[in-house]
Amino acid sequence: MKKKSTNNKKTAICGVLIALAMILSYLESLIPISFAVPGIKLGLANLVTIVALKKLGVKAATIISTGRIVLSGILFSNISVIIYSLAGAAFSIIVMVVVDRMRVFSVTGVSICGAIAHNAGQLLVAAFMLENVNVLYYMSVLGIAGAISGAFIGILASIIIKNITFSI
Amino acid sequence: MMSTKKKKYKADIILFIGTIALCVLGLVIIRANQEPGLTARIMGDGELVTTIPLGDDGLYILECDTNGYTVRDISDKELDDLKKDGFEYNDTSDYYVNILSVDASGIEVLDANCRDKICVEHSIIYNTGETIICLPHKLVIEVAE
Repeated sequence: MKKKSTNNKKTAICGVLIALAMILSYLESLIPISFAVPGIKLGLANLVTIVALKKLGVKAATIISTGRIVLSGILFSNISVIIYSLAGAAFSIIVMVVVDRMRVFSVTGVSICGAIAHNAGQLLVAAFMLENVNVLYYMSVLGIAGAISGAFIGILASIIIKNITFSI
Repeated sequence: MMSTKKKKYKADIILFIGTIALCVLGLVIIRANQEPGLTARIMGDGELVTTIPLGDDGLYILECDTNGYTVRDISDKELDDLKKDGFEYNDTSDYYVNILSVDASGIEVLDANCRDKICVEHSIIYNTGETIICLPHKLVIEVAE
């Protein structure tokens, strides 16, 4: 009986966090910050993924991230956007889990690794889809962007993690 | 406990600075090997469509329908007419349009009917190896020698 209600709570929290992540990525699309290279984003939705990863575990973080991408993909864009986003997200979550287990970095470091992995994953898919290896030279620009946005999101996430409790 | 935390913060900072330094180094090396290019290679879906000479002013239209990609010259008037008809983004349409402009300073995408318009926002390119990518249209514009 106890276990069932815990599961229900977890499901509910995942649902709420998917909604939050969708709102954050919508908010982000309203802020026109495309630094030097167009197409670069802050990755506000990743804030939710990192907090979930730390507080609720890998499974919940994966569900939330996949849920957000598939839902906002169906609602606002199309299948190719979903493929790119999923590639980036999968790569990012795998790297964040591994780096987190290594216990070398704090949340900020994990976030930086995740952001860079996200960019690398998307670029690899792009290079594959376009059948053009030269686009990989963007990686240095995307690496800098990933380090900056990852650090920013990581610092925010560590503040949130410190101050929030999920009562499961 | 405090010391492991401090160690982690230190590792974070090293990671951050290390990544930036590595990427800046990469950029510097790429830039050092670049020189102003003479042609632009237009590639659609992984295949070379055509090569456009850089330097002289020119206005081109790239179109893609079920028969594949084509690139041709277009006059200012023709472009105005096209804009009047409008070629807004349409999710169900398989008709791709990108308007390319060439002048002494390089090549850029003036307009397109793609979903994100990232190719239009991209600044003008002129050095060898630089690219403008339109992901929704599977289009790569690359400056070559």
